[in-house]
Amino acid sequence: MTSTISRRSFLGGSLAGIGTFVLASCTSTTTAAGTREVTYEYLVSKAQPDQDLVNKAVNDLLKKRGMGFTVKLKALDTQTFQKRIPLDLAAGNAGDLMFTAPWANNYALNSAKGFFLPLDDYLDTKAPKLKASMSDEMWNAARINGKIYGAINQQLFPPTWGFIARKDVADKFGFDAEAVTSLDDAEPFLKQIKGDGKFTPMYTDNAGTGIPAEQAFLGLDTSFGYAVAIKADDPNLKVFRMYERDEFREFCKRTRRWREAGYMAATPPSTTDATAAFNNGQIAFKFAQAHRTAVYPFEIVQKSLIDPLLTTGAVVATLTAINKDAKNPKDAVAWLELVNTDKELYNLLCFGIEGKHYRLADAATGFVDFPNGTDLYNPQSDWVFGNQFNAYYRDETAAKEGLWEKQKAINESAKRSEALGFSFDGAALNTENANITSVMTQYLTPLLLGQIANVDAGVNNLNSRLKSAGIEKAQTELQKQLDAWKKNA
Amino acid sequence: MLESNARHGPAGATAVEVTAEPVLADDAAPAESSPRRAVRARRRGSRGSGVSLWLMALPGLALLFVFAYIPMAGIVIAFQSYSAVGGVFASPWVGLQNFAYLFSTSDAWRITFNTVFMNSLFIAANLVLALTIAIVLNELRGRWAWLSKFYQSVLFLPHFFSYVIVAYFALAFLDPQTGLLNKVLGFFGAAPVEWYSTPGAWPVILTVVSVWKGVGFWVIVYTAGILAISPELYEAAEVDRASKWQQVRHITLPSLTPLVILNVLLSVGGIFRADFGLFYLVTNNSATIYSTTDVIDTYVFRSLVNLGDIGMSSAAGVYQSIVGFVLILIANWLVRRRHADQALF
Amino acid sequence: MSTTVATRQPHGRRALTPMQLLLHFAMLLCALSFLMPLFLVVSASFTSEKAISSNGYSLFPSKFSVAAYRYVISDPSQLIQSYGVSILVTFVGTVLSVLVMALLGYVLSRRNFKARRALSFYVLFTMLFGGGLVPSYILMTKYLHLQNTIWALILPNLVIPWNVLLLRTFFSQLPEGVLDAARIDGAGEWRTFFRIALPMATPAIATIGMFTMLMYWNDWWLGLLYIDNPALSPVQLWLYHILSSIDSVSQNPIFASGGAVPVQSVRMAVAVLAIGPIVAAFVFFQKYFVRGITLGGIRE
Repeated sequence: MTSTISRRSFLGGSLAGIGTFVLASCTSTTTAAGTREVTYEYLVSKAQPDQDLVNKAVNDLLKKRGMGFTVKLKALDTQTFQKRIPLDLAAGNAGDLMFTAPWANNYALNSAKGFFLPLDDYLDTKAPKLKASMSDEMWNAARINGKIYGAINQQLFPPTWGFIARKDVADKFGFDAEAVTSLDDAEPFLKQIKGDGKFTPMYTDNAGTGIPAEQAFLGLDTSFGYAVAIKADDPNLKVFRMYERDEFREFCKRTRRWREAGYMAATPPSTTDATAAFNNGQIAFKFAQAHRTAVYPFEIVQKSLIDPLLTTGAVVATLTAINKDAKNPKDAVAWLELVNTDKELYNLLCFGIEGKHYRLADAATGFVDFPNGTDLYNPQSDWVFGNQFNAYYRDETAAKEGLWEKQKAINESAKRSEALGFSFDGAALNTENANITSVMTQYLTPLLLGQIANVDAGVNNLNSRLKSAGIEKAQTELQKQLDAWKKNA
Repeated sequence: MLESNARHGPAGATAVEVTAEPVLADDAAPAESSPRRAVRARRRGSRGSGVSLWLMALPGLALLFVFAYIPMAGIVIAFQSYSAVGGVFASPWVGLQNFAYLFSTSDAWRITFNTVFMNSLFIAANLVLALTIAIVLNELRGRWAWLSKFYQSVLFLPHFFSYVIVAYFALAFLDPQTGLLNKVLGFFGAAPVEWYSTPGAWPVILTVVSVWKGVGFWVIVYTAGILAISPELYEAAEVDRASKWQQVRHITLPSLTPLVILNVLLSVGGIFRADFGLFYLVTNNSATIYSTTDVIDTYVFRSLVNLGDIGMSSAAGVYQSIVGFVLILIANWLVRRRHADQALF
Repeated sequence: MSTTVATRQPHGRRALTPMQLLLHFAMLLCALSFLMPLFLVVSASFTSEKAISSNGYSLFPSKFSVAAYRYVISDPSQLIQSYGVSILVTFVGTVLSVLVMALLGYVLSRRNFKARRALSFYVLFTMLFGGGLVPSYILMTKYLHLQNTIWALILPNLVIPWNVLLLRTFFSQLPEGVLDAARIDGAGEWRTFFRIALPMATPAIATIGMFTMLMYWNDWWLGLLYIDNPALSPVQLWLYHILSSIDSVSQNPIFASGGAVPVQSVRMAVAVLAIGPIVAAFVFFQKYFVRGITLGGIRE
């Protein structure tokens, strides 16, 4: 083992070393006898140059805490992670611990397919503090076919759909963010920005993500996919096809009006370009989740326009799962318990080594800054590792007001969807899922972007396409499962 | 000339090999009469040289076996409901269920048509233009020959760019407000066009992009083919006072026929696979033009983006393979009837 | 030698005909439209982000800036190491690949080789059918143990069926008489191949060599699948990581706190760094290739 390491460091920048490495690599994965190693595969926004250094510090800390194992961190950037994880799972190469979410390493699907270890017993016996950190209704949201397959990374769960706007522009036109209560209230402001001509008034991208999700504003629970929903406060859990409602029609007509008024970019750019344009300050106004931890290079005003609503989909946003083939599942669970309760370990992963990668500027509030820059280690993905409420603050205002406590309170007080804790099993609906997804990108996105001149015809077309894609079958199946779930609850 | 050579080739070559390859001593039966010995020696001789040829082919064949044929076992995934417990070889069989999404939609015909139609356009346009340019470059090889090389290099340049970059060039041309094309239209007094919402324009736009990006590749292949033609043929033609056009028709084009046939055959085999980057990125994935730009590959990508089901994605691949296979069998059969020697197999 | 070649060329050094002038003119226009984007990319990579957003692309930077390069080359030793890996992989890969494919293509072109049709089919079949990513990945990682080795970047691409069939066609174009003559002289198959067939097919070998070189240089996919160690990351993979992370970085506004990432110019700078060396190599080899081709062409 040691010889491998020394050979690797000898490699340095020289080409000659590559051959040596080829030979050495075969042995590099095995560990010295006696120590148990847990591998942890997760995503970061960008590969971190000081990853190995932090990994070593993590292992030193594990030793200090008296844990009998070491951990090997395998951090992949988002796109690499998404491409690699299905292959790693199929090849049995995936980490003992894995990041999982609905949008990466698909939590529901991979749980149902048996790639993850059921955690129910382990959580109760080996990770009691983690288990107790969230209420049962939260844990129930992570149940797939009755079992918990992932440790939920605690954070602010309810979506906060609203808007973000440049403060200087808002001030210039006397725009009072607090007075806005609906989407329509923003229209005069957009018109003023357009008239001014200095900024693109409103953020849009070609995926339609910059358009406020109508269903979020209307108190719907859409955790199930398949273009169907329930009203969050409907005790009967009646499933309906959400794009057939008049509200949706009205919503599309407004977006069309806004496009014709020139509030959006003529050709919707890709999400990357649109986001870059917003961060560069070229766009004045964006429908987005407000009061998140984001920091912009300009001052903003923001407001959430919806009442906090807790749904299954919101709770299982990010989790950590254990590989069914993990050699030492107990160690993996011990890691989950520690990383979610030990602030030092958690912040080591989030911010790196104190004094080197960050400075604890205010120990009382937990505000950190980065006098040495953020190039060497600053993965910006606290929500990947564990309980976000254990993190230091990057934003001084947030630190002063104790943002985590506030968010914790929102989690507690948020309205609960009647279907919270229910997960839809779509195993029998793969064909319908594929067809409905493709219909939505083809017929829903242009409506959301206001590209269809005749909105009524467009909406009718969308709904008839959804019908031929099998939406009714999905609706029936979901209703059946919801009814059965309610009966058992 | 080439053809007659080809036809007589095999017999001549065997005779040569008998003399070239020594007959192994322990193989020869001394009791046999000399005519029979000659016949057997000839057989053995060709077998002996066959061993060398097999040895020469072996590394390539072995690499293909390991890196192409062994993984082919994975085709079974297309017929399974893939799960962690079963893995590649023991997951439950589901028959053709994974294929259902490709055909159950009303768009099945449209994406199939778009794929074949657009690929046919690309094949034809690239073929005609690459041939023309290669021949033109050949004509320009006399004076200022360096210019001819310069053209050839430059034509190949777009090959280096990824479609991510190409998509931004396209946008610089086609953006309804700032794009070059609408500025030109405006200059001539025409109304601006929302290109990314005008399906009818895209078969042309995509063909232009495809040619722009791909033509240099084939120009190089055809130029290599032209340069291999013996100059004496042209000299003889000059003596006979053949016009340039006659030289092209009777010398250049016939010599390039095998390459053209190969190009077409292989392209036909891939006619059911679309260039994802071209159709996804260059169109800005604009849904309003799907009626002409949605192809099998983009459709599959969109359909499975939530699901990530490897059974269903390999089903799409198998479908494309089978159609491509059938088409190439037919095309090869057609070629075999006319130019037996140029057929692939 | 080159003068001999020139006098034997069909067109000689005569004055240009009007037709040729016309063709030159057309080709110049054509070349310009192909060359323009290259200038635009280089120019945009040196333009400030704001200027690109407001003025679009231009042939000369409207506001000069090296911010994009500073972002991309924040770690120069990694860039140099990655270039080193790419050069090694491209060189070793191209030499091995061309050799293996030329041997196979030559055998398949031999009309008296009995298994010719069957083996051509064997090669072609791999173009049409594939088992998909999962089985290849399992094979490479669990059975061949090539993960995180340089061979993972070389071996899977050694035999490209396309190129084999192209080589077969080129070889089958060679005048049979010369090969026969060599064998009458007593040369074995190997000797005939290396001494006669290979030199005669210089244009073909050069062409395929160039395509292979490009393929190895441009590949990032194998690296993405099989390489985790930055020391073994080819330049395309490393740049791919920069581009793909810029997506998530720009979508994570907290990152922008130290000033926004120049997304558009970085994209262009990445293109310049990725293709710069290979374009230079291409232009350099181009001369050599054409001369080789001419020699090969008249050898008969």
